[in-house]
Amino acid sequence: MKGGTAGISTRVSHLPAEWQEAYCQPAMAWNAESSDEELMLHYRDGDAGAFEALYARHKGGLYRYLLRQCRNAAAADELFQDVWMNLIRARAGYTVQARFTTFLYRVAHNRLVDHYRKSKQATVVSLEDEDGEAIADPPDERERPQDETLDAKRQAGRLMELISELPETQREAFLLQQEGGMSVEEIAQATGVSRETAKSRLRYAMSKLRRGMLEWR
Amino acid sequence: MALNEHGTGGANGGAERDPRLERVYREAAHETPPAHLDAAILAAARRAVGQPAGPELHERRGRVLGGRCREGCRHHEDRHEDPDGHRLR
Repeated sequence: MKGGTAGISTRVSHLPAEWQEAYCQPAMAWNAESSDEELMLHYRDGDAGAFEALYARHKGGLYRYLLRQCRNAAAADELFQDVWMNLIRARAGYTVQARFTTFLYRVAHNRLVDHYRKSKQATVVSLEDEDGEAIADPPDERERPQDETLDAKRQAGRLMELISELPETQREAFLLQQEGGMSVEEIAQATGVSRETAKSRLRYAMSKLRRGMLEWR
Repeated sequence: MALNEHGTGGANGGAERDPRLERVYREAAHETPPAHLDAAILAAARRAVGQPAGPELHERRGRVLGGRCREGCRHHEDRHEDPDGHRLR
């Protein structure tokens, strides 16, 4: 992909030294290997090509996250567009304070919360409910013999069903990990909860999905 | 770190991962936004930084200019033809 040539602002004094070094290079061109944060800085400085590269990287993951969370294609389309428009509007004030994906999915999470509030679809799940569930660890699936006859499409379909049946917060944690490539800490940041809560949600989600796939077999 | 479509970047915890589940998910999850959303978002991004709205605009302008050019040529040729269609010198 062809790179741009806009300069990078030096408004990064609040960052750790290694990040400052990375973002204070003068007038570096971006390319396919540039980080998301570098692309966003180039876009902030007026290079629309950098935005196109950033959009291409994240459009699929963000769209699937929204689609599975609101379970309505028309609503997902609207939310998806809103999130990117918010990002475009916010570009002038963008500074690198976290990974770009954390920033992007934080905007998306907040937009989803607004959507739930308006449509009254939210299913409130208390932390006690989530953490108090007794979920036995399933046997290690890797030790089971591979079922040669298992149809991959049916297997994928079953997994999608199980994901849709997860409590909203657990599903969100799973999707942020899978689609956003986010760590537990980043999931916590994006959803505004503690690291332990994010970790617990992710663990329960994985446990239910594993168990569901094993029971189905 | 650049992420791919399924975001392999980031230091994820081991206890909360399951490679087999993740593989099945990756093979199944391929939905992408509709093309008209891509076009609208990218056009808005270009407009926001004062760049042309996109190739569609250039193509439209090209078509309009091309049309006008053809009209001009026809008009020019008409002026150089007699009523019977013979070209005048």
